[in-house]
Amino acid sequence: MAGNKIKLQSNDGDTFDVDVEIAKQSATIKTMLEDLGMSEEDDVIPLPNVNSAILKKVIQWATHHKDDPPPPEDDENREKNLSDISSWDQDFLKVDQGTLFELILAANYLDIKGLLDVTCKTVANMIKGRTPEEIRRQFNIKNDFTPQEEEQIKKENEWCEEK
Amino acid sequence: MNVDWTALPDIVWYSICEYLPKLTDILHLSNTNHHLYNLVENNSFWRHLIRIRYGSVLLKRYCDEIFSNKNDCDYLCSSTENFSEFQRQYSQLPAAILRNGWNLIVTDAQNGNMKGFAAAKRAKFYLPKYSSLLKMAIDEKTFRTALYQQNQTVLSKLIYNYLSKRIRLSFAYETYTCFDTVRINEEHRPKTIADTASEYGVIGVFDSKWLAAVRGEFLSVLPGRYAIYCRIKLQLLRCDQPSEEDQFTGEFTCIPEFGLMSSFEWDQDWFDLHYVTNNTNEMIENATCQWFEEHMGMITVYELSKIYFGFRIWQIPYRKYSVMCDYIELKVVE
Repeated sequence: MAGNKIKLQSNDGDTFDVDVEIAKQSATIKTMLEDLGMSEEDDVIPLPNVNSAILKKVIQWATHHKDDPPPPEDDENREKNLSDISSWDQDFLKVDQGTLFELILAANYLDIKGLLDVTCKTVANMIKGRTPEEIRRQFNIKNDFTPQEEEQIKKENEWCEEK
Repeated sequence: MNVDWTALPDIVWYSICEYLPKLTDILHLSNTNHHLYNLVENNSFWRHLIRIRYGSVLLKRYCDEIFSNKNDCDYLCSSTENFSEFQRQYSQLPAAILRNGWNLIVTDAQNGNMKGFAAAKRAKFYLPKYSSLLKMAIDEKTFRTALYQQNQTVLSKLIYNYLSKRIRLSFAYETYTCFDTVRINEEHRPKTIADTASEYGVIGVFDSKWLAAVRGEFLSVLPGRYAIYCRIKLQLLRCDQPSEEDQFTGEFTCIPEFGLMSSFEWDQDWFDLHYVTNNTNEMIENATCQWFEEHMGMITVYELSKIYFGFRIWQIPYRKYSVMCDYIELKVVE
């Protein structure tokens, strides 16, 4: 098993040699390999949605997490714990917002559950406890509500605002 | 690099919101702009969160079944004829039963609460017979008005709010003592002491000489299966040689207005065992007694209900433990 490698190609043309077992953390790649019979060493898997810088980060993450137990199939009833980002992941995700954004898109496209979870948690932590205005500033979101609409929404949500 | 976060795929925003346990955080996010507002104010968004957090059984029950189910009022014993019959039965109760019947005390029927009397009758004698014919049901309008006075809000968002909120009452503020007087009213709260470990800051203490009892009620509880939990702390006050005459027992009873009741009793061993397992250092009893959350039984609720509960403890011939109670909580289960 060890040493069995495949080539991943980013959208800017760079190829990366990656252990099959590491690459298979991506459900997208796993499906390609299994369903399409792409197992020959020479095969290059093109990833048109991922650039080199991000692919490098993704491979770095997947390499570190190669021995993790597979994520549970059944996603229900999960206690979502916000504080359980490992310190390695926390360091790994000390990146600028652009990179975090691209990592989320890549994790979503490549279907790497663990990476998507940890990046989503990171974004969630940036939202927690903030006012709408603070969230807008944090994520550079444009307020496209009219003052009347904003007033209306505030009223709508009065019933569930915690004290 | 300028990033347009709102361009993330919807499913990714769903995943992010899975990690926002507080409803207010999700609402603050939705209030930032139109795109996110439309994403959140949507049935499929809240259904997704309910499924992830509470599982597909509860999703189906609370988002689909309870609003389409209907109960026959004959099985529910909720007709005016049933009520007249309960009134007739009530008027024939012997005074001693009226004064001392535990279920009558729990439901406040002792003070003339006929609805409570009907609840006790239904929960004990009638509904268990018909349980296979009863469903969990409520109509949407009742749900919206009774719980939220919200007619516009997305239904599954209200359901999410219900499931995510704690259904919890403080023993210090929201129960009444029984037995000290026959007539119970607002002024009869249990004895309380301050406790920083309680989110209410104050806890109830059961320290009547022989028999201590409190009752209380939850209003507007949705149909469902609920596990009952109480947060309790025991402090050893005195310990004599055990004797045949000793009676250190307790009982916890929970009676839904339309549902199946639960009654949970315990003996001396319960006290001793819970005392020992929750107190690490026997040398300094006072300083080391620990809070524990105790499962007090299960109830089934078929229609929107008031839930009556009562808790009583006998300590004869002397007060062995001081029983301190923080809260009672109903937890929705499958």
